[in-house]
Amino acid sequence: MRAKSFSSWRKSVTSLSENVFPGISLNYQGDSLECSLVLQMLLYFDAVFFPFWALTIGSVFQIKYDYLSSTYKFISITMLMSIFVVQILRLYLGYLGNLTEKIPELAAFWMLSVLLQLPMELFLMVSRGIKSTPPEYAVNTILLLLLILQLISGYQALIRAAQHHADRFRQAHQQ
Amino acid sequence: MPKSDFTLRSSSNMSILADGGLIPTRFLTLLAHLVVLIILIWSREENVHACMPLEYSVEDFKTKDTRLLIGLCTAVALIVVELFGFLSGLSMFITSVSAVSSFCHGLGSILLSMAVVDSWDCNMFWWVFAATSITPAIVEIIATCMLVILHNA
Repeated sequence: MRAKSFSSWRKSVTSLSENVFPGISLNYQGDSLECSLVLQMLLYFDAVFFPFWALTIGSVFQIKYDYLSSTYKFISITMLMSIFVVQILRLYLGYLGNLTEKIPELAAFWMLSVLLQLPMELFLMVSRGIKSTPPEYAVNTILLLLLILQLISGYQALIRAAQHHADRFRQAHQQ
Repeated sequence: MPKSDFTLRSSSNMSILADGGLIPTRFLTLLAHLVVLIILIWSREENVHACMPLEYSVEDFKTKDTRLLIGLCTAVALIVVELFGFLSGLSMFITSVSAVSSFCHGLGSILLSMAVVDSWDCNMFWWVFAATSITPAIVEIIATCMLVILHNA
């Protein structure tokens, strides 16, 4: 029953990706599909959750804007804008890299997450000058948790994709 | 174009789940309920104050406060259990469980947000808890037990 659930999940993900990237089903290389299910699920739920994160943070921010010091006003606005842009870019690259098993996109997704998104999210959680409120803590925790799980599974997906490519090149070379 | 393998025409159940968006709905309502519960845990003082009589002692306040905290933490734990069952795929594709869960948690998050904003009596919380936290947890646990033990969705 669980195997059937996973294959139906794979079918629904494939149809979603067929809508976003038409013609993707022709790109299956080799005989086995190596994209990571865990990473795809995490990306999907992150993409679903992200607009509500933006709404919550935006509405709380415009209430607490007057209470921040001028330094933190500038820092907050810069951080929130860049988290917004980086998240959209990251999710797009992650989808593309994972579904088409392209290593450059997957690596770009992973590096954006580690180098840009992770420090910014940790700053939002830990910094005291930014005067985080309980809704912000709750919603940022969910985003941070999704980010960390994506980092772990993205790393494993990258390793598996690289091994798959190496195996295929070795097979082609032997032939 | 070899589209036939990858279209969702298998059953109406699947199309409700993926095209109708029942799975993201369930995920979002679960998270919304969780977020509002966390907000309530953080700022429950006004709600406890609302259910105290005009003159009260500190011990009474603390007793009510502890009881409310225990209820809120139990609700959070039930949501975590349900998230686990949902994300591991056990109950993700059972439409009835998803529908009950989406409805109950959506209703729960709306009622709890009203409780935060309007400073509801803390006794009201127990009604909301029973209706919107216990119901989906029981449905989910029964469904996953039936799935695991009987292999029958």
